[in-house]
Amino acid sequence: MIPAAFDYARPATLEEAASLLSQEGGAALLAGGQSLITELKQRRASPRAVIDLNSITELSAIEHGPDGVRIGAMVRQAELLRDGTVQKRLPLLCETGAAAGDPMIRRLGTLAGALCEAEPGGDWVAAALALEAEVEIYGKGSTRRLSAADFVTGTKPAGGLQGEIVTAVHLPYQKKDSRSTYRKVKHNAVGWSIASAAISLEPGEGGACRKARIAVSGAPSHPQRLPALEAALTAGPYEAEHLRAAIEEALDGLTFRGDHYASADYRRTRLGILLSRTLQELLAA
Amino acid sequence: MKSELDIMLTVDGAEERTTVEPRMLLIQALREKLGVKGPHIGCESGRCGACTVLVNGEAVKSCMMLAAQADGAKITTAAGLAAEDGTLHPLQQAFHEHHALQCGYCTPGMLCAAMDLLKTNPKPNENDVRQALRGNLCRCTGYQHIVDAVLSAAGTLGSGASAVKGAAE
Repeated sequence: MIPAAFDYARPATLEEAASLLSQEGGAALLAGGQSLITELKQRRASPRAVIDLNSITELSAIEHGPDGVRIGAMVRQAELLRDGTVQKRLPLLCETGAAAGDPMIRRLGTLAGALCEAEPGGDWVAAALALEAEVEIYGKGSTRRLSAADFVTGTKPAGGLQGEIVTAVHLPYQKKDSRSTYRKVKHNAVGWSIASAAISLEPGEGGACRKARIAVSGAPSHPQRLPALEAALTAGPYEAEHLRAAIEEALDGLTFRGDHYASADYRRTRLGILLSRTLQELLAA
Repeated sequence: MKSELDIMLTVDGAEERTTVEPRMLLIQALREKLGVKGPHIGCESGRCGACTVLVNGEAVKSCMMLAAQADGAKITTAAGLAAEDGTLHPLQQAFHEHHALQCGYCTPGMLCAAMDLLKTNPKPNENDVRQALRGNLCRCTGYQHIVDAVLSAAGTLGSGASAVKGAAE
């Protein structure tokens, strides 16, 4: 598996990268490369040029603030998972990370890259949605931010980027009393997600949740949040029956993907069971 | 924009210079340009881990990296773990003693992934070892002997974990 030929540049600054990107129509950006290099080898992508972001040091910082963290686009997943404050304040991200790829893939792969790829079965994307991440985008001399939900919409490229570069991912810290988890039903042979859910609940008064964030991937056409189910949990109370009905209603609103690994019906069934069990567990905690 | 690059790699202590096309993967540069046959090519799609090497001390799959990206890096392959006089590294010795290989195809990758684990976590438990080797497939052993070997090496190295660190860097 040898990629088609392409030209290559390794700019040292963001400005230089942006200027190369505007000159080279259709150039691909190389961050961790754990999706792009596969696409190049399988020739699902054959860009004329690859712009390697690995020498842009300003993209490699993890910056903690009072309420959240800014994760530079070139921060490796492994480095992120080793960060003490991330471990303490973003347990959902760390739990998800441990289930994503393998240690060698995480040594190179980046969170920003995983969001740009927005694989239908993506682990990191589900966590970013549930944690209400924001994606920082640089281009045309200015910076803008998009919520993860507006960035990952199922259309390519993610965020509708045109000649722009994702520079960072912003994540608010989880509340101290939040209960969260990432669960995945994997295909037995290949390990890909049949259905996954990243869930973060903040317990409130009278058995209802103060806040609920539920993101699913693997089963639906693209990773997304389930706002109706989130609303049902904040409205509470959630007797088992109500919960089942609310889950069914949320599933009715999704389009499920089917392929030779699992049919759409099977994915829907497994996602329903996964949501029901995981929510009951978190609510009873 | 370049369509050919001169790169420099330090492979198992030896400085090597070569010219590559940007599309050349690190594993291809190592094996085909530099004749370094430690890391194997298995699936070439980032799953099997047979091509794992240490790049600046960190285990990565060398089929998932362009040679151009490794320019200037220090590469350690399984062949570079032993001492110059051929004395096996304690991890290699443990593989030998625990019969942690049959056909040996996955072994270079297993060794490099395990080196990285022992550097970051000198006292792993069985689950840590299995998680660390998750990206390395073995079709012969059923993994048990490999896990035993890594745990045994961690015990042998004990407080001498610095020896692992030294070799990995």
